Amino acid sequence: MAEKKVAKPVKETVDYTDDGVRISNDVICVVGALAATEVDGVYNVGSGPKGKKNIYKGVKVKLQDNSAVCDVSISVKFGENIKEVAGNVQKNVKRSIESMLGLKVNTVNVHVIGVDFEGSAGAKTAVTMK
Amino acid sequence: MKLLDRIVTLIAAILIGTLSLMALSQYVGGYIGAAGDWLYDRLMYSWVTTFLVQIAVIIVMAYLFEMTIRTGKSEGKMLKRTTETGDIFVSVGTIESFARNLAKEVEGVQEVDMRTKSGPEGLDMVLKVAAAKDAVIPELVSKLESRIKEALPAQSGFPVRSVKIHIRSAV
Repeated sequence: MAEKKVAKPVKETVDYTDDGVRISNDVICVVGALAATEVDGVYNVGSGPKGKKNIYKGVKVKLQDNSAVCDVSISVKFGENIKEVAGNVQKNVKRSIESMLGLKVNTVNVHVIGVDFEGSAGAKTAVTMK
Repeated sequence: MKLLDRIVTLIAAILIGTLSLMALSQYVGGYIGAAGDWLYDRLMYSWVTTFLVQIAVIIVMAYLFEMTIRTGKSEGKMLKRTTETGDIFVSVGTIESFARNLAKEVEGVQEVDMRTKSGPEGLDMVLKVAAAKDAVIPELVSKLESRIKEALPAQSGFPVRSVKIHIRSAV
């Protein structure tokens, strides 16, 4: 008889509520990454190809004193104000994680690692710095 | 990848290939064996050359090891802005990509290479431009400078302190 497959254990869980709810770090990353992609001017989250498959890899979460510190890596669209886009990412990521997961977010650091020129005239490639 | 990294990687590849051939020559005949024997005769004929090859291998190995664990150097090429919510880091490469695209929008600019340094007062940029043959250079330089100084801070949020333009060639 074939053994029942057991789901791989999550790398790290965060015990963030008083009632003992535990949640995987990856889930926080996915929520943060989706929040970042919603922001106007964000081309992609993370350094991989554009898409939703592995966007959580573009977000790293650490827990410090019962609040989260997030690092979000993004590529922006050419023509957008980088500072403004990054600021909106900070706000949206913080709001989403706090409202969806109830976890206090202390800091959201945004790393702008690339720029996309698809929307601009005469250029069709995205440049990503690793 | 830095130029030095590429050179060391190339040397490593040559060294590994050479040493592999020499090792293979102990067991394989034919051309491979002959090539390995030839290399062995050239490199290992005295303790001096053997010593030099070993030193080269150790140096290359140490450099490759340093390459694999190298971290934080890219952070030195990041521009930082602190906000209430956290920090915003923008890579210099991203700023240069923006600037390059802005520069190419100026009529008469064919190609642009640039170097960027960041200081407390803003970015210092050096643009090396390949201009179009029929371009009026003083006009082009003036337009390019104002384009970079106006549009780049507006799009990136980082002030530009100086823009130096070198016309590299006319194509």
